[in-house]
Amino acid sequence: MRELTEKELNSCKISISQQVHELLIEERNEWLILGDETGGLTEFGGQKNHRPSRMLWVAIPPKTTLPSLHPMYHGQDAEWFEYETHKALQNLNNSPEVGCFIFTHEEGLSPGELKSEVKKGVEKKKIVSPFKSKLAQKEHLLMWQFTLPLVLEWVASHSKGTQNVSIYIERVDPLVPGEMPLAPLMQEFVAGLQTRISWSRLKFKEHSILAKNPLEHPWLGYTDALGHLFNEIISEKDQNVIDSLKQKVIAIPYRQTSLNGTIRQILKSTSNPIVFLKSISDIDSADIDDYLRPFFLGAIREARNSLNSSEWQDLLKHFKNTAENIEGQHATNLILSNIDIDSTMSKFHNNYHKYEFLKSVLGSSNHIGQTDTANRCKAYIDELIDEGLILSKSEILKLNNLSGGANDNQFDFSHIIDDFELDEDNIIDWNEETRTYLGAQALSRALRNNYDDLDIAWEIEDKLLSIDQQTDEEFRRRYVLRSELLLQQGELFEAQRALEIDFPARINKPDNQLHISDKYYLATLLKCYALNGYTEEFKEVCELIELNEHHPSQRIAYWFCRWAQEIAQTDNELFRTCINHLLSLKDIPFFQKEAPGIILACELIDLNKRGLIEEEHESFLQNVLDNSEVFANEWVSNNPPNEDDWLAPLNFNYR
Amino acid sequence: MDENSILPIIYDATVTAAEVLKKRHLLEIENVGEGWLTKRHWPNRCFPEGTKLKVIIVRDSNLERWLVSKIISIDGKPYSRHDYRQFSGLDERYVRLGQKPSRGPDYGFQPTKKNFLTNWEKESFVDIYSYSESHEIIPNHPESKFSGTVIGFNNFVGWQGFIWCKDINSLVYVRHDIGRKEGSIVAGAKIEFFLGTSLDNRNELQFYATDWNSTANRGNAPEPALTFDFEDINDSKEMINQILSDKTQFVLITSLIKKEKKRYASDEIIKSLATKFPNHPMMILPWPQFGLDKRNRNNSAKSSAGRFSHPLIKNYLSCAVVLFPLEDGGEEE
Repeated sequence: MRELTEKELNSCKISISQQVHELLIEERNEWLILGDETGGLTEFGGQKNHRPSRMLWVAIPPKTTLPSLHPMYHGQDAEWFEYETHKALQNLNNSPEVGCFIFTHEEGLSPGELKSEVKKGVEKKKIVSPFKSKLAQKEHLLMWQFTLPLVLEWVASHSKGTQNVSIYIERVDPLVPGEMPLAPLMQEFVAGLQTRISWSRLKFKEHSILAKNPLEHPWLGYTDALGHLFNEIISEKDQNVIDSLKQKVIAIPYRQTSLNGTIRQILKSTSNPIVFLKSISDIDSADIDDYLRPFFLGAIREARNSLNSSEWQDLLKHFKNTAENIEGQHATNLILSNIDIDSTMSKFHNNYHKYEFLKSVLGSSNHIGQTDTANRCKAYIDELIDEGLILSKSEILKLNNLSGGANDNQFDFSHIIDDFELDEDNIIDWNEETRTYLGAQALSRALRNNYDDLDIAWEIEDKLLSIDQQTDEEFRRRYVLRSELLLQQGELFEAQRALEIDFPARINKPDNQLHISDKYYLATLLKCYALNGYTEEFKEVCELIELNEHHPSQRIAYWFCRWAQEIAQTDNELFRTCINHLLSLKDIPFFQKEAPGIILACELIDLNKRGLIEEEHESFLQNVLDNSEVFANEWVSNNPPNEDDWLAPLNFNYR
Repeated sequence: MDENSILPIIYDATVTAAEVLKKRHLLEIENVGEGWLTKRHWPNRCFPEGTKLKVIIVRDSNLERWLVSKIISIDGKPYSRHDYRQFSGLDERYVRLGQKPSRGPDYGFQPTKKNFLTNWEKESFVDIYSYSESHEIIPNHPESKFSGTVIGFNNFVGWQGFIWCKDINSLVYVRHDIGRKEGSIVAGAKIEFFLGTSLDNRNELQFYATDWNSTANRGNAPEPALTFDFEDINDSKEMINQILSDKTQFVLITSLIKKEKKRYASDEIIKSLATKFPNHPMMILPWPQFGLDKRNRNNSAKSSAGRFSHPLIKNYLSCAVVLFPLEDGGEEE
């Protein structure tokens, strides 16, 4: 009897696999989470690679069916599977409900001690493990166990009703197909989070390693295909689908210290809603952006909805206590964003508690540009006052400050008190509320810039600056505002001096680069550099610039471009990054209306007129105005961008 | 244009910093500015700050920086690569003298052996070090077609590999989507090609193959075998006989484990097939394979402690039998 050749045996394996694949799809009634990794994972041994290692996950909802891939599919084999990869990427792109996650190694080592040795003049690093087991040191296990919980959280928040979940990961030695290395992890999280409605509805079925050649599951190859998203060489026919898929994929860094520390802890804490919500203010802003925002919005909603009246009061008190630091403000904004005001209000039986809640939402809406929510809060507060709610004098000041902030964002300056007079004798007695109130009056006037507005703003800020009892951060804010006022008056050199010399001297810390991490400070500093045509420190500042999707990132990018143009340094990567960043902000809702939208639109128009951007952006400005309230429309029509000044609607620190 | 027909300019440079880990030096080049002495020219030692060099430089147009292409002298003393290493006539990246040979077939490429390296150095006449920038086709040998062997080094089936050719003192990068005329990149395949230079992903100059033909041809992605469900055998008997009338063919008979369906064991299937296709050789497909778990050395069990190569597939497959054509002399009853 003849024997099967290798090719014939493979054809049998393919046939059987395809039949089983059909059955798997036919019988499936679960969320399917598939995982794979790319790269050598040498970073876990302290060796950075040209191509960073990545952990890839694809989460497919129960009712979604993707086309099967070839059982021998291997994305790297372009000769056989180039078309299959293209189709796989297209299928993922065409299925918005499918979750795609890419964690790119940024930081994290295998357990053990990193030791260096020099061989033949070359230094090599190696992890010396305290464990005898090869498995315990397996980098793959680290990547799986620190990223899978986040994917499960995403699945939990995207599930409706009771649903099954299976998890499969492509094999990697020494783990063999059928093994279940995730069992302890599942136990830790699944059991621990059963008190949450969303997690209690997930029923875990399978979680094991799958074999390849042939692939045991028809969709396992989708994770492999996903890894091609960051290829250096992308064919022309893949370019569009890859660009589009990059918008949909959650692509974030793998920072082991965060994932194994605060993020792991905070995920566990979701079982206790009030503890969870309060702990968000302890998370640093990079972790908020990379992990909290993409994965925890459902958990926040769930926790928020489960709070009773007294827990809400506890949380509101926490907001107040953490309002001074930026992490606290970001946490409050994250917790309160898109909140259902009416249903939450119904939890409070006391009008003052309702007021406190509305005040918090009003403050965060100002920050995140939700003007409609801010307006509703103001209307509800007015109703409460009409119903008889009595507020203390200091509370009224606070409320005026908040309302003023909301109005400024819409170019509504009607709240400015025109017959305003400073009581000079009592500066020392100004309490925090009074200072905030006066600061807000100065800010609004500088933004309006009518007749004597700038003089009054200067007078107020000058008084506020004269108060010695302020922290370094408070002084920094004062000097940033002073610098902006000087710029508005055309005192360009003095403005730069205020930031670089007067401020560091006032706080007795000569290195002003320490403050560049404050985005407001950086934006104003770049504005000074641009307007003064400052030729020094370009390289140093370049290294300190970080962009994000929040205000004033658009000002930072814009003024950097202006500065680069002014000193003929536009031929550099950061300049291109800033231009692309400004263009990308157009897609973010925060920048599509009111002040943030008008700032961005004017900046884009200006850069176009300066020949730094090809595309015209007048239509974007019109879209912004269409999305905005009447005040913004009136303001721009009275102060339209024009040949003399394309930033004409923008005064003070809106510019 | 022949590069050698123009005398290159020699610049004075001073070492301003050494990055030991990256094996490179930062230089201040007179009348030019900043430049780099990268690891391609790292002469096996680290220069202290202030070392005076005479160098020939090239512009890296991708990164817009100046790179040293040749060191002429160090602190006034003439420099030659020969002073510093053996087999300096070969690309040092691929000289592995004294190291452990890598596993698997070498296809004639034995960079750990002295004899091999001596011969390679003697025979090669195309020198990577005489180039400093990217060329679609190398200017010194524009008409030459080279031939070599695809070796196992950095070989990713269906995507990329490296060619060893005795005429060239470096390995030659070959990629599926660059300059392919015919054939596949398979270790061991003979390959004919024209030669160009490009920067690799570490920004080092390498040779690459263009307009290449390979003797290997993997064809298209493999197809599934002709397969019949055991329960459909009666209806398909005629078709199976027709297929098996071709001596080169075979068919696969499978029985899957489905809900509310009878599960057939292998002996049941064999018995039935023997009746329906008398004298036809057949075999139970040895896949998914079962293997003993050997990872735990303390496990003395000789049976049962093991796993299938593809356990999920095994969960759904009751049995698979391969049915062959009648052998010569065999006859249907």
